[in-house]
Amino acid sequence: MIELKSISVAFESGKALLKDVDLAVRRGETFVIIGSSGIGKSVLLKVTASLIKPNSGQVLIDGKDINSISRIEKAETLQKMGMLFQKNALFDSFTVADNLRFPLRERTSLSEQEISEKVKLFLQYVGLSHAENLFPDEISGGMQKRVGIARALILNPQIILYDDPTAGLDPITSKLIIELIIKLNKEFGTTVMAITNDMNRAFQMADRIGLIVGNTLFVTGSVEETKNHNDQRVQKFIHGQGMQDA
Amino acid sequence: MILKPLVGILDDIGGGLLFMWDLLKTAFRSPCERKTLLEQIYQVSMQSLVTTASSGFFVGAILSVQFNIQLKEFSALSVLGGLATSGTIRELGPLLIAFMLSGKVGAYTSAELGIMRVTEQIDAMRCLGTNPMQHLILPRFIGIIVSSFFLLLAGLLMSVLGGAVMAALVADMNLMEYISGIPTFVTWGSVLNGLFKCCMFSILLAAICTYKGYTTTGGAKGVGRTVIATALSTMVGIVLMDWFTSYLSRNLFSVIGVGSV
Amino acid sequence: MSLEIKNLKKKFGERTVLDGISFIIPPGDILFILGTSGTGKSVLLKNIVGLLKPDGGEIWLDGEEISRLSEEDYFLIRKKCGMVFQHPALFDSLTILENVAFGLRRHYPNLTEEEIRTRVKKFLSLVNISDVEEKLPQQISYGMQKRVSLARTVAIEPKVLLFDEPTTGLDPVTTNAINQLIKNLSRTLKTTSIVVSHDMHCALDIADKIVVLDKGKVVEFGTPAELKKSKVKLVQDFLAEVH
Repeated sequence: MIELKSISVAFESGKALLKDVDLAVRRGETFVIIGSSGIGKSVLLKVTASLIKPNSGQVLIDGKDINSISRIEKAETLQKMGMLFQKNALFDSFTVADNLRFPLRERTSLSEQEISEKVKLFLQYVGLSHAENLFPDEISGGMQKRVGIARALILNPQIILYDDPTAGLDPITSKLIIELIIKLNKEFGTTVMAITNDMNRAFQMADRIGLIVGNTLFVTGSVEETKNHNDQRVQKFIHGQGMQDA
Repeated sequence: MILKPLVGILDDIGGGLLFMWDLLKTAFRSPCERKTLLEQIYQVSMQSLVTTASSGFFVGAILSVQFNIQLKEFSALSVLGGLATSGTIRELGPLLIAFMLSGKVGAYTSAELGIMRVTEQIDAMRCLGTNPMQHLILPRFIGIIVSSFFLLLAGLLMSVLGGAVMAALVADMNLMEYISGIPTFVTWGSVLNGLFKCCMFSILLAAICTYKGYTTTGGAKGVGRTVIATALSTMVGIVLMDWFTSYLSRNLFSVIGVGSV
Repeated sequence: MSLEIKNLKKKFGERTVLDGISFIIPPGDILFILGTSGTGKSVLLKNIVGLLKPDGGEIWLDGEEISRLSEEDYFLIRKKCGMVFQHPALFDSLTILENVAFGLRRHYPNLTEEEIRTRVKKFLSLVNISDVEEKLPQQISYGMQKRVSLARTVAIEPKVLLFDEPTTGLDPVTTNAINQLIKNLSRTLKTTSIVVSHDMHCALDIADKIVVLDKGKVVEFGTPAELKKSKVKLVQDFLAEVH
């Protein structure tokens, strides 16, 4: 479904951030990327979403290289993808319901009636039926996150990219958010690529985990495999040991 | 419906006045360091010198062109320099320079303070034993007022130059002819009038942008809102203040006996 | 230096954030305050250093009631009570050296430039930072900024240290490094420390006492060992997070 082939990204200074990253994510799989802050997790996600163009390498979505296909084909491919940004990126001046209506109005030809029904259904999925007429700044951080999730899912994308979906939330709320994400992914059979800084969340949601160390992605396998991985770097990272960051 | 924004405006004015009262108390109890103040004056002046000087030049030039068209009809070109300069000094100069400053210094100051507020730098400052009113607000407040005098002066000189250059180009007047017409219209009263206006505008601008910046809430979006609110309220405030000072100075200056043309 | 909070209350408009909080910390202890977002943990800290004024209740620092003091009188309290903010909150326009020296210059006006420099270096080395004194905050990494902000607070040698979510949003390696630093600093400098956190794992590891807040009230208070046996649902949820 998603294939990254020897992706390299460099800073403007020419210094490599990511070098020769290879990854294949299967249909319906949830792949979680972990790694220290500033090491390129977000960049890799944005490369996959074609928000950043890699210096070299290919991003294949369903076998098509999104950086070399025609504009129309690219638009069609991107239509299959949804992304949840770290800061939710909700529209402040729209109510919760209008935030969900927006992508449906822009990107589908559904009638207003159908749009309303769909919005109602998705608000129900994320448990926010009571909040449809509130504005983003009137609801808590956890609720904003759930609106973001509903908006990312409402176009029924086959692939969804989560940029640290529980950043800044407390562990209790985080756990509930991830439970919701898992439930919805099961329901729609979505392929997921996510990044997180919280090992508990990574273990909670991942089918497979990859650790970014020293410019490259190191696939550590399933949750059990990762926990018992015999590579020192993996053990050090998940137990929070290792050198002070520079 | 109409009540809510009204309450908001009154709330802002009340909050602003309390803030000013607080600032006044700080100024008398613990004045700011001279170094920080001079830095601020330098920064604000340098930030806006080019903009105000160039807009001053063109204000003079515009008035000179406009008056030239009308004065030619009455063959009264000898008063061109006086009319154009007096118009700039009394009204257009202070007003335009205040607008320039509100766009540049107002936005900069409110955003700067807003960011310091939302990233808790202001709280941190208090915790490290420093009164932010004294260390941050007071030097910015006085800095804006003092530098706007310099800027006004620079703007006005440039406007005389701009007017003279234009007069030479469109009305075939030489520099001496143009300047010799100035004293007939520009009295000390009108200079005082212009300075008084400029002073009022800059106090208003300094008050709004420091108050808005200092009371920012709500993260990055909050800073955005602050900058917009500052721009909006300074613009409206300056226009209202212009009307008020024109009204005031007409009565005031006639009372103290300074002629104001 | 001991700290006692008695029946502290704080409201924002209609919303009650702190609804009668009471606890006591003996000198030299490390206290963790845990709770979900929006339960007023940060508000509690800001009340202690006088950035916010409580609506009711008392705060006793070393036998003195401090919550009704004026801003001027808080100057002395803040020399004794240092706060480390959630964001590094470093001053953007000042170098790392000047950031750390900022509080020193106000609280110790008699120090010479040379002494200030030596002190700054000493406290930067306590947080394992060297050779960046002349850089600006935005030129160093976030993890480093956090540590500089720690150094800035401990440089005025407060007797009580308050930490507002020092590790929220950081990766496990940096989190661990910061937590170790908190523990070492508190023990070396013999401060009484309060850490507001989400991290039960770390709380069990380094706290002497733990307070758990829910909806503005204390729902559990005890040593890590006592907490592990707690019957409170929220505490159990937090414990489930410890791997």
